[in-house]
Amino acid sequence: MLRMTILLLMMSLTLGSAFAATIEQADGARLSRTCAGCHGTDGASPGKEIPIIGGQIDKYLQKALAEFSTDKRPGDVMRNLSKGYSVDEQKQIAAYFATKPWVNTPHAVKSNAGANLVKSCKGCHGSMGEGRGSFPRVAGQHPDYLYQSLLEYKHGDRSSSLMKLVRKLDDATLKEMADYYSAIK
Amino acid sequence: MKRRNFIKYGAVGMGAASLYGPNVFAAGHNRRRVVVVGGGYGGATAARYIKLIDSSIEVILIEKNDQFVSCPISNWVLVGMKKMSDISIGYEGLAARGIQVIKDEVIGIDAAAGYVQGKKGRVEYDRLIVSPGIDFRYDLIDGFNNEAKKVFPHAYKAGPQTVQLQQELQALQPGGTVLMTVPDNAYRCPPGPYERASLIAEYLQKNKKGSKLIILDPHQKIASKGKLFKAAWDAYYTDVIDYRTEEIIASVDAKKKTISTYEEEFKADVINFIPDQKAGKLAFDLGLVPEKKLWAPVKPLTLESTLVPGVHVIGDATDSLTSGPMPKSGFVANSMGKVAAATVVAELSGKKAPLPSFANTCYSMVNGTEAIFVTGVYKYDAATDKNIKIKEASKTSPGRSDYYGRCAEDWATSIWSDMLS
Repeated sequence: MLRMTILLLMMSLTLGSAFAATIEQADGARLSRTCAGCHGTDGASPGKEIPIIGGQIDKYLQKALAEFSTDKRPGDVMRNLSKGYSVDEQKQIAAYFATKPWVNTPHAVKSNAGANLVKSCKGCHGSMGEGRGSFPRVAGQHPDYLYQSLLEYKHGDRSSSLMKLVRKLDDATLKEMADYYSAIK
Repeated sequence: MKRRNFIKYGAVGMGAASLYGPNVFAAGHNRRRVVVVGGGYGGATAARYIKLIDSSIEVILIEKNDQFVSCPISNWVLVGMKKMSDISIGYEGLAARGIQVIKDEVIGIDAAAGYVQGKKGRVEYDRLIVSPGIDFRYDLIDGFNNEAKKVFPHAYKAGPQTVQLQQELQALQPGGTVLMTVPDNAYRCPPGPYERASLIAEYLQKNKKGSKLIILDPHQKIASKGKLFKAAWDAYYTDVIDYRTEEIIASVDAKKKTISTYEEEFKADVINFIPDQKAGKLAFDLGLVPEKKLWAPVKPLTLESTLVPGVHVIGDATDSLTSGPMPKSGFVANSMGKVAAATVVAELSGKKAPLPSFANTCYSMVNGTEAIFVTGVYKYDAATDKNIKIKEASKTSPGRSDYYGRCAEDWATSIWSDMLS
């Protein structure tokens, strides 16, 4: 795909404006609009399982797409779809969604847990779960999705040395953490 | 062969749709108006996305029904998993975005003068997007008169027939028979009939002990997500489903309530007849379908009609030999709506139309909780001047699961808000 894009660009430069009139470099918006069918307009997913991606950390989205497309990360739909896009296109899609406003989950679960519950999470995920560096935002994400993710890390289905710390936690605690973060706005 | 539909009417105004002179492209005219006809998965998306991309463009949506009723998820309504109100959404969300929603039926066009003719009056456009949906080829079946249409509902356009079929299933006596036919050739939603069969089979098992579901399929095997449906049917429904392949329906008899192939006559208590299909009547009325053809050909880059310039055709009505190997699905219509929106915005702004990008993700329930899916990514290939399927991205699910079933629910919530909010 990248080679095709380069070839087309070279052709458009030599052939001039008539050809270039219909050929354009891939752009994030055009590639990303189709994602809304499952992830909601601008990635503000209103569902329960399919995650909010609008306003998520750019580098994390890039990493997720790369891991889906190399079958490193579980996710049967995304393992298929991500393979439809080159690495460069995946970066454009990630960058597009990162610029969108984060819309908190409509399915937040009220949590009575104190901030102490997630003290080990703040270092990477930020003091309010807003994300840091290439670590994703978890605050205001769907609780079911967060819980499923934590279970994937716990069982080693999603590999991450940094997330190994959840392996010694029981499922109830993981659920509590998911609920806690879902409710942060 | 280009056919020009020209219907002369008096210059009856349509209230807010003011009339300009016939040459809307004359110098000095600075209106930028897109008219979208059809408020389904394609049209509603197109209208909404034009506003999202450039809110300064005037958008008029002409739709003949009061509200949007979704075909996807309507199978769930048939068996009581959802209600009609769960799949029906009004157009208030679009109106709140400044889209003028007009309830009318478009019956003609004058592309040279730049207007569509509705039953209530004419509406001028600078660009036109039509999403005509499908209609049924009753002409292929002997005896499919108006009485037959009442007795053998298709329930393949969500609405009153969905309610009718649901009520017929509810009224079925235990031990009764349900019969459904699968369409041949290109038809809307390839897995649709099989999802319906799966859900009806479970419904009969749970609620109408001893009942059977006969499926008459013209194909040699299940035409979509075949292995996955077969696995589910073998696991769950061997006592209910009687699946027959290579069955071509020749005639129906409304009075006797029978369906006949060339070899056999079938009688049943509830008959769901899903006929072969073609583009919606609107596509034919607007001259978008060539003589003796069934679907509307379009240019792959812009989805503009190859017969009528300035008119973009999206959704199930498109001829996939021209638009690309995308299946006739709601997700694809939604994706085409976005391509058409981006294209007309670019054209009206004197900019280059962006490359198209299409995708498909489609879940089918195999029972009340488990689903299977298929995905697809489609892109423009300059070497062949066609939209092509990216094979690595276009596959079915490895199996069935409750998790996919829950995602199916999310899919509906997301896509409906992406179309209508």
